[in-house]
Amino acid sequence: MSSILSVRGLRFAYPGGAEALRGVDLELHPGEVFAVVGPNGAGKTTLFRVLNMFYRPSAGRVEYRFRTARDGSQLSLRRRMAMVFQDPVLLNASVWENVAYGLFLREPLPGRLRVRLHRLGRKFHLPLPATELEARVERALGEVGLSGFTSKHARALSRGEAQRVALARALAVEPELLFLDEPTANLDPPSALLIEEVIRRANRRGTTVLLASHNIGQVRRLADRAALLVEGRIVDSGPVEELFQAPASGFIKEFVGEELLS
Amino acid sequence: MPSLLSAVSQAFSMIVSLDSYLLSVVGVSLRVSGMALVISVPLSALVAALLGLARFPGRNLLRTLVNTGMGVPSVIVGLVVLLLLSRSGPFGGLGLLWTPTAMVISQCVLITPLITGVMLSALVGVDRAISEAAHALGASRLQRVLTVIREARFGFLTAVIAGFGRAISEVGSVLLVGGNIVFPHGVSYTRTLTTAIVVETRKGQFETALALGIVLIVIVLSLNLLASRLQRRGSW
Ligand SMILES: Nc1ncnc2c1ncn2[C@@H]1O[C@H](COP(=O)(O)OP(=O)(O)OP(=O)(O)O)[C@@H](O)[C@H]1O
Ligand SMILES: [Mg+2]
Repeated sequence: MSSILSVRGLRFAYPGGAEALRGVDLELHPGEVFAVVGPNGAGKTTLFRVLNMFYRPSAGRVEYRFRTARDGSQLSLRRRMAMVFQDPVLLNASVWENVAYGLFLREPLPGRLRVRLHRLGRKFHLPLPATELEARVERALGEVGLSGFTSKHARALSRGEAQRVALARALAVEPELLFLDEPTANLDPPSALLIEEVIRRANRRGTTVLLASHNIGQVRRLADRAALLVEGRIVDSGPVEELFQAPASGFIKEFVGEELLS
Repeated sequence: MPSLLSAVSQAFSMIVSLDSYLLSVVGVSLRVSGMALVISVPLSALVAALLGLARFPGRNLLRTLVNTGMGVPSVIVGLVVLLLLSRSGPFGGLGLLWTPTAMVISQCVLITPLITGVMLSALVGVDRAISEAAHALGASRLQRVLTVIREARFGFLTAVIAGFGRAISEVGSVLLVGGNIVFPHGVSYTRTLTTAIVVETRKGQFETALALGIVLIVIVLSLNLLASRLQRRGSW
């Protein structure tokens, strides 16, 4: 099977720090949900940051094979990916502005102005049709169950709502590859289940998902395959049902705990 | 000593009667400081963006320079600009001394470090995570920078207001390079609110001086109110 992302011997060290990634190999199949599990400090966030081109690897190669990238340039590859962070990072602006942000980045100036004018006009009750960009924002917000929140300010959101807005913002750009770094950490169980459902739907529409999670139940519910990352190395990987099946490798047992595997 | 009440009432009557002396003095103040602001703000934004977001040798030295410049007394700036523009100075040939242009120049020199410094601290205060989030959603390098600047926009507004406030209320440099000139028919050429206050006080016209002071304070105060209103509205 051809892969959408192919990682070979990936290494990375923070300036002045120890190596956080020490030779990671990974193949992501198009359309799958792949989970990376591992203890705190294993390098999950670092791995995502390198794959998402925020950091340049110190060694190894990463190949992206997106169907829809305009060209092979860094920017056009990056624009086929999106990432949701462990802690939601929202702009100091309304929910609508936040969700529209990624779309505005991809829109040439005339299109951006057109949306601004439409929104301004509608404020004065002109019967202007919704632009495609606005429709996408609406859809993404509806997806995470926050349709009524458009004009609310991002600072006025609860943590769970903020995480849903962050997810909607990533979904709005319809990425081919979506990085989710512990998207439900610190959320209550109903919010977490809601987010899982949104992830599942996005995945069914064709988005490949790379998920970091400490929640083994969540990994079992969402992921097709998983890898265990320990101290910057992948020590075990495979289909989820095999990986978390007893008898497991010593690493998995240690990480997950015996009782969860049964 | 005049009573505050009579000063207020004179200020009020000068304002409602559109006293031509008062109007011309206010006009010179607003034009000179407004022009200084128009020149300083883009320049300061550029320097602040470079100092805050780019990495290059000499950056820390420049930052120190900006911080030092924030506190330079206005008479010193006035003196230096005066020497540069005076007939025997390097730019004497331009004939700018004792014109509004000279005042604009000295106010620019005065407020650019202040505006840059406040903008810089606003930029540095933006969460690093914002820049990473911008990257992760497909921002180009330029878009990333613009996103961070947009996040710092309230701080930028504060910088602009602070710069204007300093410009319109400083007296030392405009007095030195402007010359505090009034046309014979009683209309200001290079006399500002602050230098007018100095003159009126010296003449013993305390009510007029206080009236001018009240106008000055009202201008600065309403700008600050406008700024905090905009900030409270939050989403823009
Ligand atoms: N900005 C940084 N500068 C220096 N070292 C860092 C930085 N970020 C992370 N590290 C180090 O890199 C290693 C991997 O960290 P990383 O955040 O990738 O782990 P993680 O698997 O995401 O952990 P967690 O489960 O706590 O989120 C850790 O040892 C950490 O201390
Ligand atoms: Mg992490």
